[in-house]
Amino acid sequence: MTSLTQAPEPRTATPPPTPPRTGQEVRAHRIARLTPYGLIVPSVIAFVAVLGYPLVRLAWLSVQDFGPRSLFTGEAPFVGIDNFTRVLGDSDFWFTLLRTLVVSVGCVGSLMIIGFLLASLLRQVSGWARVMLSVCLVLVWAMPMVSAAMIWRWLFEPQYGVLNWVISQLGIFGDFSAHDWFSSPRQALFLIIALIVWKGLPFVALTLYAAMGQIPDDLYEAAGLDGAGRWSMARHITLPILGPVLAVLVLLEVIWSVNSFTPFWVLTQGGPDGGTTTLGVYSYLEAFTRNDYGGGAAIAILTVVLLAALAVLYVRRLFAQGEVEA
Amino acid sequence: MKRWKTVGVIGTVSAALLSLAACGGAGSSGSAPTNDLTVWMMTGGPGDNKIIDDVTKEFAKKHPDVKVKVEVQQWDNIVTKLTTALASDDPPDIVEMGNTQTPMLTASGALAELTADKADFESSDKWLAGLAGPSTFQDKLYAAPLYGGTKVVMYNKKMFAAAGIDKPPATVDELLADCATLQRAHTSIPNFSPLYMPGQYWFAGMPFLFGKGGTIATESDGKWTATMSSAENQAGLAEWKKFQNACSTKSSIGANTDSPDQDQIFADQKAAMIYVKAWEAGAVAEINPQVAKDAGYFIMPGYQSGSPLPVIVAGSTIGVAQNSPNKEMAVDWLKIITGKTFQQTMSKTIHQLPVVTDFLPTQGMPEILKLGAQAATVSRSLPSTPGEATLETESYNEQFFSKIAKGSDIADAAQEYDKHATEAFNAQSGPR
Amino acid sequence: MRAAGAPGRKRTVPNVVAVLVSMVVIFPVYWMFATALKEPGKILSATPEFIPWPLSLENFSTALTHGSFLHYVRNSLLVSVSTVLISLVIALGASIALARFRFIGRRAFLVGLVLIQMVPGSAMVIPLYLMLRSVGAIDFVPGLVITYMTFVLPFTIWTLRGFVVGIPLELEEAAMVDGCGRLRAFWHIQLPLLAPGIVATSIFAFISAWDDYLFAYVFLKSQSNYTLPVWLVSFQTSDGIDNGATIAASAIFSLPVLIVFLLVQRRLVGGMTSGAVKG
Repeated sequence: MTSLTQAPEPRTATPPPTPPRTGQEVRAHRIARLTPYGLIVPSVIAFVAVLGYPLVRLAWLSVQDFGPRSLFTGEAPFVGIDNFTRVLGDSDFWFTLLRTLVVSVGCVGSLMIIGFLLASLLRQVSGWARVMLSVCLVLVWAMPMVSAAMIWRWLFEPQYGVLNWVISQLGIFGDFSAHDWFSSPRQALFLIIALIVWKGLPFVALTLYAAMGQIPDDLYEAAGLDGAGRWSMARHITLPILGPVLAVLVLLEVIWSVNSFTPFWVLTQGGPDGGTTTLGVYSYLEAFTRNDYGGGAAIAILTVVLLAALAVLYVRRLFAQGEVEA
Repeated sequence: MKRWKTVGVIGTVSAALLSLAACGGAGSSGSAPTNDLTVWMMTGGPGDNKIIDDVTKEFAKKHPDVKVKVEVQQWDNIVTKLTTALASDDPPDIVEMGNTQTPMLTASGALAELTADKADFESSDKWLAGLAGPSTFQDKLYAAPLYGGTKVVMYNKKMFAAAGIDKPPATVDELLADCATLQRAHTSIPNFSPLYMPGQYWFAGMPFLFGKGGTIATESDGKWTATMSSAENQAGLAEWKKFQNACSTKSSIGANTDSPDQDQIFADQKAAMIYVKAWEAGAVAEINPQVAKDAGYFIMPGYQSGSPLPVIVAGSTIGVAQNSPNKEMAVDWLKIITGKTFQQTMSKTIHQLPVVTDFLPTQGMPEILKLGAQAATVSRSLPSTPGEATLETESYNEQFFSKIAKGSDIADAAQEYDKHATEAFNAQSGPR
Repeated sequence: MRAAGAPGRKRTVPNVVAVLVSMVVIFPVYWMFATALKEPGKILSATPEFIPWPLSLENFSTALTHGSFLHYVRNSLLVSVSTVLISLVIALGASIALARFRFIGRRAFLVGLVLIQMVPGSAMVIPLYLMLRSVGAIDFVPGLVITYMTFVLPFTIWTLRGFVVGIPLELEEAAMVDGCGRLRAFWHIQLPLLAPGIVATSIFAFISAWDDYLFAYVFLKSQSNYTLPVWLVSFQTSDGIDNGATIAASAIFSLPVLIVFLLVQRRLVGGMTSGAVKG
């Protein structure tokens, strides 16, 4: 992942310039030429089979009226863009979209800022503290999201939640022991975002930490000699160099927060009254509770279109940096 | 050279192995009967208990060579799992389903028709309405009822005595009065609820509507219309709100029975009453045996003395897969499990209601079950359409009742319910 | 690793902050293990106990004797390890090809990789089901491995490609001038430099396979083929939820992943730094 910070020009590999002479060298030459294809063939087969078929099937599903009955009878009438128009015409969809954007911005923003701060902290502490903090982060990262969501629900449960008790003890906010966070959409979203950020911090923080490690110290020393303060150094040295890594992280986290499902489902099931339903939940509800598989596929395609639009910026940047050759 | 060959070989061999394994797993589209029966039962039902062996033993008398395998499934996502399993080439032969999920599976064509065999099921003419309803689709039988369950109120006798209440309430008004009395007598307990009622507990909320004469939906000519906005229902909703707010602590408005666990709350003596299913008495006993011993039960009273609120009969049905090659054998197995002998054993062991009220043993029944059976005699079933399963899986009723308890405008909320529910009820309920 | 900024600067304040942050961050994980070690009756209480005392292993024993735990562990390990190995083999080949060689459709391939990662997981259930049903691979471990590769391969290929791109060509060519064949060069030079990338993506692949509940539950029919996540959910049983056993089950479920992580974490963090050698 650190390697993404650099943009070396990828050069096409060429065999050694000397012309082949002996039979053995001819064979060696030919094998060298075929190498890339030998490498690619198994992957392409796997790629097409494993990823291609389901994707094509998904697209095909989105233009069919496909429900449980279709699984048994094989009947799935073609309905063109009906599924799409129905979804786009449903006001619930647009509210869900808006909510998803809010959640995504909240998650990604918090992750980047807190992640950056954590990474800087890791750079500044003594060895033992670094080990301790990174081990803690790794433990959080490794915990399965299902378990994490269950624990989160426990921590904030009315009457028995530990964190409610702690907050009550603080005395600032009053008695929180019977507070039901999950019955208010805003408070519930706050907690869900907190959960997603907590689980996502290790990946962001550790990636940024590693990327920061690549920045040569002499840059900072030179700037220090010129009288630059910490903030200035961060703004003019650290952030620009981290740019590519930040771009990748933002892209990944946006995708993951938009499609996030488990935290929402375990904590609120998308409620109260649909108040915490984001695209990930919406897609699941359409496919599995309404058992409208065609509609679920349409929502999935719309999600990809949305994310692709956001990603265009990243892809353009990739091209500009020359990481992908024309 | 050797290395890229290795990579390529590993890749190709893996792919080949996978496809070989896949081909090997493709079962024949068995139309010939096999010698084993796969039964899927749900957690919490008779299949989850060793009494199920009784059925197999009885079955072995008629089919000695057949191997029966019973597997227990989880409720989460069960509809999807059942649909995909039943749609495959070698489905489980027999499946248990929640009564609200049965219409969905029937309408998809997943279950075999049992109309011809109905008369052979013991006392099938007296099956509990709440279970027989969903088992039938367009006047044909597609499943048999398996067991039922209803709820009663569990109360702490000591707390009642301390508040000076000598007998359980006989009407809703008396209940509300008792709640007030209990609240006054226990002000020292923080977050105390005279009757802890989570706002999401729609199984308790619906009876308030039924008691006023309301129904959830009506059907004519295969088209369903949700009727939550009817005057009776709105009156019932208002009663529900009044009751929930008066008897239960504020933090319960948005909660359901498991978070926090209502049995824990009762066992911790933070509530004088809770609305329970039969097994919850055992759960309380595990946490605090003394409280369980001090507990009594009564049926949720109605608006008038002597006519309790009609309850929802929850429960399971059991059916045969349409794609199963062993339909006749499966039906034989079904006859045993719905027969009087097994149903009685079931009631005695796991305290579920038998499918026919007459099957209930006359002696040795715990009080909670006797009352439950009594309550079940006045019941309403949920709309028998696939859409009901949809509402359940998306927790729609939970969120609706919680919203009402919170104080949302009843008329507006009811209209929204009708719009959403009507759409759900009519989706996929077309003819086979 | 020297700290950024002037070396020799006082580190007490950052160290203290690090300790506090660690405590806050780790608290929910700690709570999971602490609760699992409490006696079953004392799990929920209005006044929380932060240190479990007396320690009790009862929740763990309840969890371990529930269902066929060991059998499910075996299934989970089988599926997860297979997913990792097969994905790695395929991804290594694809990422090297993508990074080093020019071929038709390369750009489409790359864009496709990014697009695929955007599809919500639940939407893939039915398409995958239909695909697996047509080859008869439902209820078979390979069916699950194929399914997991769907979401593991794109990320793995994309990440490894990034690592490969970061290895300067000069190293390879220097080795070849010295007489190595292209592939010996790969084995001795590139592979070690790719190691952190391989470790990182293997962990990602392992966790994706280990944690999945939805696909395992829907696709696997026979109970004997179930994986651990199904076992974890099964604690919401007939008699309500056994909170103690559920928490203990979660802890047990997390353990293998935690242990693997702890073992490789230094490699991971240290390696992520050296993942792109500047020469």
